[in-house]
Amino acid sequence: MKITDILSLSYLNIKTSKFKAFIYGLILFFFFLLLGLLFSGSKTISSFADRYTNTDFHYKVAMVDIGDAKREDVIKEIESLNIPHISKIFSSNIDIFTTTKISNVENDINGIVELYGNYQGIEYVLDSGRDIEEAGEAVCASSFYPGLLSHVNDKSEMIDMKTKVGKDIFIKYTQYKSFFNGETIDLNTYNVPLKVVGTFDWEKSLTGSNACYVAEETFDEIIKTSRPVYENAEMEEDKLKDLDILVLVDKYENLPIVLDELQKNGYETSLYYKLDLTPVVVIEKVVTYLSISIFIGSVFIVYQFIKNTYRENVNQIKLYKFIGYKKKLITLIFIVQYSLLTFISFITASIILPIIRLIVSNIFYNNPNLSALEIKLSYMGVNLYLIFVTLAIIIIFFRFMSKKNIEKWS
Amino acid sequence: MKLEHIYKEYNLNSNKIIVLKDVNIEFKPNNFYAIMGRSGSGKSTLVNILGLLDEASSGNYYLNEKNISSLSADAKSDIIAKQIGFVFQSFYLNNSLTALENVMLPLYINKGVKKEERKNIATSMLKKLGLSDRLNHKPKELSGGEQQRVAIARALINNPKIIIADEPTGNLDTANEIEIFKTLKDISKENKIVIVVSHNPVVIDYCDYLYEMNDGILKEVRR
Ligand SMILES: Nc1ncnc2c1ncn2[C@@H]1O[C@H](COP(=O)(O)OP(=O)(O)OP(=O)(O)O)[C@@H](O)[C@H]1O
Ligand SMILES: [Mg+2]
Repeated sequence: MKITDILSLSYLNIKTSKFKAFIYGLILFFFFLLLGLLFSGSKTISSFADRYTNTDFHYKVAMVDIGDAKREDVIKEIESLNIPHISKIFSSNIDIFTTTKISNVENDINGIVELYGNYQGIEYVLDSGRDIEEAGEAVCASSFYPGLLSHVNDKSEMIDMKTKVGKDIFIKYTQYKSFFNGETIDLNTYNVPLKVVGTFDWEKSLTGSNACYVAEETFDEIIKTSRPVYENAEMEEDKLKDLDILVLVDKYENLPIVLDELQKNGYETSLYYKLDLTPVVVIEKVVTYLSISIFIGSVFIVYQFIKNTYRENVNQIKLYKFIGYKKKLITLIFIVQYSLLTFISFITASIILPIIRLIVSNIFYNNPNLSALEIKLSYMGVNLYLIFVTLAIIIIFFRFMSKKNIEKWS
Repeated sequence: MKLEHIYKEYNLNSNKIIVLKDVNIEFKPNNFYAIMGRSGSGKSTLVNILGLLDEASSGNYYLNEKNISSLSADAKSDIIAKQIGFVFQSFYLNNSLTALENVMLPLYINKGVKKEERKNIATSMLKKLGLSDRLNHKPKELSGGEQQRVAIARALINNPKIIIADEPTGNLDTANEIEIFKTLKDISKENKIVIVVSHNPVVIDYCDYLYEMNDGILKEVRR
């Protein structure tokens, strides 16, 4: 028998119990939707956590207390330990980033920018151009706010940095000399050209707009030349004395290894940004248990539903029998009938999920406090459920069409 | 088509009830057989065995010279599909489907009929039974007599050799009764065996053979 015939017979069967079919489809639709939302929500939260832990490098920084030792000596000592996963040791937190003026030839970029070194372990989501390959190159946030205040969320005034890819920008900063008596004098003003080779999606990177990653060696140079020059070494040590050395780790999950190694070697460590992932773990657990309950619970509901409808379909089965349909065919018609309804619910939920995502994303996008939260879609729960329910239907119908049951009805 | 020494018994709470006692009967094409008898005498049991919906406890059933007393369920379904058409007192129509859709159902398993032909074949069968203007009516929108004619159309659609009608006029008024018996009589003349179970004395005027069932014993009353 042709598949189209089976399908049309199943369709006639659905017509026979239109209302029940509708209710069945509706129930399954809600289960599909619920699972889709649960899995998507869980994915959204874990990817958000992942983004924190891996794209905001502050979470990958271990602080080392230098005590009474000399800063340079401690840095050398740690370097000589050859601890794996360390990608950069910063002498203090003032070396992590610097804020400079920024301009360009077209003169539409004028303002301030945060500069970061492009060290391993610093991740950003490139959305145009390419990664940094050599000195003097920069990857900038895809938007630039041309005022003196960065981190302003008025998107309408922002300049699209994608149009600047391949062009130069200039960063300007002044190195000054600091004296014990509090006086300062300007030593040098630097105007460094940087070639913008790409832009990153700053909303996915948790930096603000007005930020650029700069080639490692260029960044080191900028830090060296922008740091104030102190009257003498004692004054420098005095200014920095409470600041810890910062150790950047390549991946968030390697942070405990590095911390452990440092502690083993007698260093007192702490974390730069502490991240409490308990809520994420709790939410993931809740989603898992809830999903399992939906799976088991809904199979029970589906079973009951098919059982009840099925009793009502006994007439239909008798009819099929006395016009000569074989048992296998009758079973198949019913399996296809319910699978078809399940599939329609699956498709409907699958279409509605991205629409819900769009709506929720829009709400979040327009809320500055939540705009960094990217709503993810996960079809895993929905797909698993489709397979699961289809298998359940097959098993249930083979059970129902057993010889014993057939005899009971005739 | 022949039954030899057919017995049917049920075991109810260790009580043995014998419903059919040594039934012997032969059916020939072009004939209308009527079976009458009191309620509970075993008429339905007999025709269900004839229609392969039930199995005899013992005895032999020959169809086209072949003994088909013990066949697999699938083999029985095959024979039913090709050679037997049923008509019941309660019509057994699917109330959600149109007359046409109801009549088309048996065509799905007829390999000799192409998909595109189904509708035409069902339409002409309904026309033949005088229902040409009722094709797209649902059973609820038809009179009892019309419903039964739809059921007859469905029984005839795969051109079976044997038509079995159990109390076909039980739910109909006199005018419709006569109509149905006439139709069944006409059908029998198309080289078919028509077997009708009925309480209705009208059947006597239409049948070629009249049998009476009495406590499981089948007796020929008139030829
Ligand atoms: N599954 C069964 N188990 C036990 N007894 C049964 C079963 N089916 C039928 N019988 C009995 O067999 C007898 C004959 O039943 P059958 O239905 O053949 O009668 P009938 O002649 O068709 O009666 P009616 O004219 O009322 O339709 C009845 O006494 C009935 O109770
Ligand atoms: Mg009966």
